[in-house]
Amino acid sequence: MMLKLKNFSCGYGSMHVVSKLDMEVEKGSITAILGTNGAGKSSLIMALAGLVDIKQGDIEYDDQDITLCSPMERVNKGIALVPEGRRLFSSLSVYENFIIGGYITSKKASRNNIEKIISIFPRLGERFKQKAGSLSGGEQQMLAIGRALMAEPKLLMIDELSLGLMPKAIDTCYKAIKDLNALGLTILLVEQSTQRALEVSDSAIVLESGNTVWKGSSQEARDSSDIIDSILGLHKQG
Amino acid sequence: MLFIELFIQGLIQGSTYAIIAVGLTLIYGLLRVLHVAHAGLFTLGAYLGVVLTNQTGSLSLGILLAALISGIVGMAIYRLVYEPMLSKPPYVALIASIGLYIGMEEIFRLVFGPFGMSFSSAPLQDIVVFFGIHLRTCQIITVVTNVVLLGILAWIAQRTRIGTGWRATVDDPQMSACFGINPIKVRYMVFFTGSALAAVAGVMVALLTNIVEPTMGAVPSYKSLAIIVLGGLGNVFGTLIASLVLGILEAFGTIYIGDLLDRDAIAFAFLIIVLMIKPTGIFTSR
Repeated sequence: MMLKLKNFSCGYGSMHVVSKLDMEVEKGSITAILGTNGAGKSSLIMALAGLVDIKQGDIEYDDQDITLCSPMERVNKGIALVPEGRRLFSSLSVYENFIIGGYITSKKASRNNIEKIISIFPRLGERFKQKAGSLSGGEQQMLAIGRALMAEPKLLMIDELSLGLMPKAIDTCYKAIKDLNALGLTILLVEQSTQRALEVSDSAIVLESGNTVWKGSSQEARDSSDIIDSILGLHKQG
Repeated sequence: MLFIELFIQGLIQGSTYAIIAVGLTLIYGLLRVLHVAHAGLFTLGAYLGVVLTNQTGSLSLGILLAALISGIVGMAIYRLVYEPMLSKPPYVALIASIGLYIGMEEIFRLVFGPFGMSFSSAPLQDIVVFFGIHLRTCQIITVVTNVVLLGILAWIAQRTRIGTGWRATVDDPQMSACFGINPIKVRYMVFFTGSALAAVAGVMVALLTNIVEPTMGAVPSYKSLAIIVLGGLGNVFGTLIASLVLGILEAFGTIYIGDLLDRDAIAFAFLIIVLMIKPTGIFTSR
C-alpha cells in the first residue's frame, strides 16, 4: 500500500474540513478524489503535502507514519504536489522552476530529469528561458507537473488537473498522467471533471462536505449512472 | 571634465546607497517587514570597522570582521525580534523595528560615546589622478567594493541553486518548502547577507568621512526606505537602479541647485516628486 489514511480529519483553526476519512491508495494506481466545490478535496491533498493542519488520525505512507512530517520531509520521502492554480514561481524561468523542483536531487539527476520531462512536454523545451508567469494556462500546468516530477516522486498528487485549461491542453496533461502511471508512478488526482477522472483512474473516492459519500473502483462508478449522479450532486435536486 | 567627476561622485554615493538598500529590499521581499533597524546595522558596521581597524592595524580585517559580526547580529534580530511577530500584522514588526533602531542608537552613544569616533590614522586617503580627475583612493575602493559585492550577490541569486531557492522562497515560501527548501534557513541567510552588506557600507562611509557617530544611520535609513519604494518594494534590480539614479542626481544637484537645496533636500524632493507621479515605484515588483 502506498498511502493509508485512518480516521483522518484536517482543517483550519477549529474548523474540520475533512472528517474521519479512511482511504487507501494502492502502489502504482491512479486514485481519483471527486466531489463538488467545498467538498474538502483540495484541503485533503494540501494536508497530505503537509500544508494544512491535521486534526485527527494518521497518514501511513510506504509503511511509514508521516503524520507529523514537515512538507520538506514529505518531499524527501517521495511525495510531490501539483497544487490547485499551479502556484509556479512566476518570476523564475521555466528552467529555474525545474531546478527548484529538483532541489532535493543531485545536479546530475536534475539534468537527466529535465531531459525526461522535456521529452514528455516538448513545448516546455521551447520556453526554457521564459518566465513561468508568462506561459499559457496549459503550459503552466505542464510545468507544474514537470516541476513536481523533478523531485523524483513515488506519489504524485495533482489538484484540479483540468481546471481552466483548453481541451487540447487537458488531453496532453491526461496523456502524460497515463504514461507516467504506466511507468509505475502512483497518482492521487483531485478533479471536478468527474468523467475525465473516472476514465483514467483505477479507484475513486467521493467527498461531500468533508465526508466520504462513496468509494470503490472507477469501473464500478463508470458502469453505474446512480453513482455518477450522486458524484455530480444530482441526487440533491431530487 | 566636471560632468565625469560629478558622475563618478554620484556612482560612489549611489553604489553605497545600493548596498544598504539591497539588504532592506531583500528582507522586505521575504518577510514584508520594513526593517528600519537595518540603519542600526549600518552604524554598527561603521563602528566595528573603525574600532577593529584601529586595534588590528588592518583595514581588510576590520571590514571582514565588521561584516561578519553585523551579519550575526542581523540574524539575532530576526530570531529575537521578527520571528515571534511573523503571525502579527506587519505594523507590529515595523513599530518594533523603529524601537530597536532608537535603542541601538542609544547603545552606540553609551558604548562609543556621543561625540563620534575616527580612524587613528585614516587609511586610503592618497589622491590618485585618474584621466585628469582627482580621486581619493578610498573613493575608488568604495566603488570597486560595492560593485564587486553587488556582482557577487547578483551571481549567487541568478546563477546558483541556493540563489534560485532564495528567489523561489520570496515568490512563494509555502511551495518552496514543498520542494525541500527550508524557508527558515533562507530567512537567516537573507538577514546575514543584508546586514553584512550594510556593515560594509558603514565602513566605506567611515572611510570617506573619517567620522562615525551614533546617529549616522538616520539619513541613509530614510533614503534607503524611499529608494526601495522607488525601486518597487522587494524588487532588487529596481532598487539598484533607483540607488544609482539618486546618487548621481544628488551629485549634480549639489553643484547646479546647491544654493537652493542642500544634498539631502535634493534627494528627498526627487523622491517625493517621483512617488507623487508613480506611487508604486518605478519598477513595481509584482
